[in-house]
Amino acid sequence: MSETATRMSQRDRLLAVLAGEQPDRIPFIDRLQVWYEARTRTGTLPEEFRDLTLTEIHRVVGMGQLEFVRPVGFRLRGVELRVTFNGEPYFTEHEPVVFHYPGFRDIVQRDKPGLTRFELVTPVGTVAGEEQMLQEAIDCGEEPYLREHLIKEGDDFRVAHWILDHMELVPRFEEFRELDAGFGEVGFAIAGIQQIPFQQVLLEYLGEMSTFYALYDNPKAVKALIDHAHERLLDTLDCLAELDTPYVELLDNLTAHMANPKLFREWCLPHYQQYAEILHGQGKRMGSHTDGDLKPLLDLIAESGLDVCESFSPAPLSSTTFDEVWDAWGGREWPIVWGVIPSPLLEARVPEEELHAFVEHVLERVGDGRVILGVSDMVMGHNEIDRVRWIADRVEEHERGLR
Amino acid sequence: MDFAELVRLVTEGDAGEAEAWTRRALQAGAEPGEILERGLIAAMDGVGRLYSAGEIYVPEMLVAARAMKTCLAVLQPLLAQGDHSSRGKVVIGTVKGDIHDIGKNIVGIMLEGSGFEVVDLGVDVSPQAFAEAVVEHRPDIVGLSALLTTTMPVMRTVISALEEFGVRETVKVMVGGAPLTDEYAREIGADAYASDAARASERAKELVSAV
Repeated sequence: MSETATRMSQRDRLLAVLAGEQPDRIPFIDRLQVWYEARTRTGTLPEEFRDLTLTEIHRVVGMGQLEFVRPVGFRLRGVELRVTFNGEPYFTEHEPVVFHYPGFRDIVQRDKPGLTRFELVTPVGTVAGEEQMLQEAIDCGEEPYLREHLIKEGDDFRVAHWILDHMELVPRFEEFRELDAGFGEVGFAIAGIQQIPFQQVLLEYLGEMSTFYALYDNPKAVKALIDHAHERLLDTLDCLAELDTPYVELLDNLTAHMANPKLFREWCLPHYQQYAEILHGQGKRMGSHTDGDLKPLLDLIAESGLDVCESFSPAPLSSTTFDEVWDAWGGREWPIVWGVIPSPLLEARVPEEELHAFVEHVLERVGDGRVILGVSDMVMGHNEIDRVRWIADRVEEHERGLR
Repeated sequence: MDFAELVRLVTEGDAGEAEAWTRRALQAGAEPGEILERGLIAAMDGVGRLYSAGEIYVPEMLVAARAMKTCLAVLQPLLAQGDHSSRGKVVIGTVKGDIHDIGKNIVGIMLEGSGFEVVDLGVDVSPQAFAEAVVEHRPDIVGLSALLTTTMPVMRTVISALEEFGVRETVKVMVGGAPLTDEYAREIGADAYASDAARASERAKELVSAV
């Protein structure tokens, strides 16, 4: 059998790390989707990839594929969802099933620039929000931007509570399994679930500045909303007991700029610890999408029960360096850091030597340690695909002393 | 007059009590300019220092700035009658193609809290709109924000537009946003980079005092 044939796949390497074992090589697995969409939309997809699927491109480039898949949706009982796009009716449904709640990313118009406005009409009142998409964002494969949040005044809290109290979970485990299986040995479907309650309030329900003012002006209302969201999240975790996956990720978009150590300790830490206990009891690892600045949170995250900090985005994307996170966690079994290579190093304006030096330094520091490499937050449309290929090749060469 | 009390109230974000203190001080004959300098700006300078030292965070800074603005609204009509001038004028905005406004808004609040007059152009602002605003408002500083690696190159285009409009030499350019670095700021010809709102306020003071 050739050496190549005996090597583990990217998926198996990832699963080994999640199982607390040592793979033959460091897993290198992340998202090319935004790069692919941006290149396709702008007609700049390299010729060699034009007839390939995204998964095939991952295989050719040598980077494993990850995709966030929501295994659980929410039926909004008693709610009429009315959506307009640029002022025109776009979508209306009674008691819809949505997979991003309290956000509505799955129903936002993403192919045209404009405003998607959504109203949730309930027997106790109506709440509304607005997502904006620019042409530039479409061209780059970026996410829409939530510019109006659901909760803007006191009565909106009551409506939000009512919706949470009446929603039903809608598992779609079979679809999840099929998607995961579709990646073959190249990729892995992350079971992505809603943010921890504080992040829901911060990023979705109120927005950052309104949350900070509300914590000062009306902390009881904020706490009540967080408590309601916590109950639903516990339901989600219970539901996941039936899903055979080794890893569940809270799609938190955590950053210490907003969830600072004081807020994290009060509002996030107890929830993470409780959720970790539940998921560990199911034999699953728990991660968080941590694509912001983590430096002030490193010690707190270490005691949170989080097993994986996915999308770790070091300098220049944040003030945290790889050395700082490795110094803090490198000697621990958990949490594992996933990401590490900042996407700006894949831009043509940055000398290739900078990328090479960065990767060499990471490999030297990691040695036989456990890490999952990726490109943080993801490979962007203006990134050079040959640099991704170089990373994949270099990581493949990095044989580890343990074999 | 015990300005330390006003400093404490603003620092703690107690807008109601800070406003009441300001009104009582005016009734007692205090000069609006003195309340501004020794009370409000002193408080926000202290808040900036606490933030930079990691002793407080963005939420505390925001509620302090809100308390400051509440008091400033009481003082402003009186300040306008006198000869009191602001620390300087800053035009801010998020560059074209980018609609993220949180960082820009927090910087604007901190600049106002530090005594600057702020003209907020909003988000998705074209290079030409920045240049036109500089012509119209004649600011001391123009502050450019970008959250995305895809939009930060627009900052260079804004600086080119300022040159084309013949106003580059009249204004200092300060840039900020998650993916930016001091090195990148220098590379595109900006005068200053600020990694957060408190530092933006400090850099703005330095830029104005250097003029």
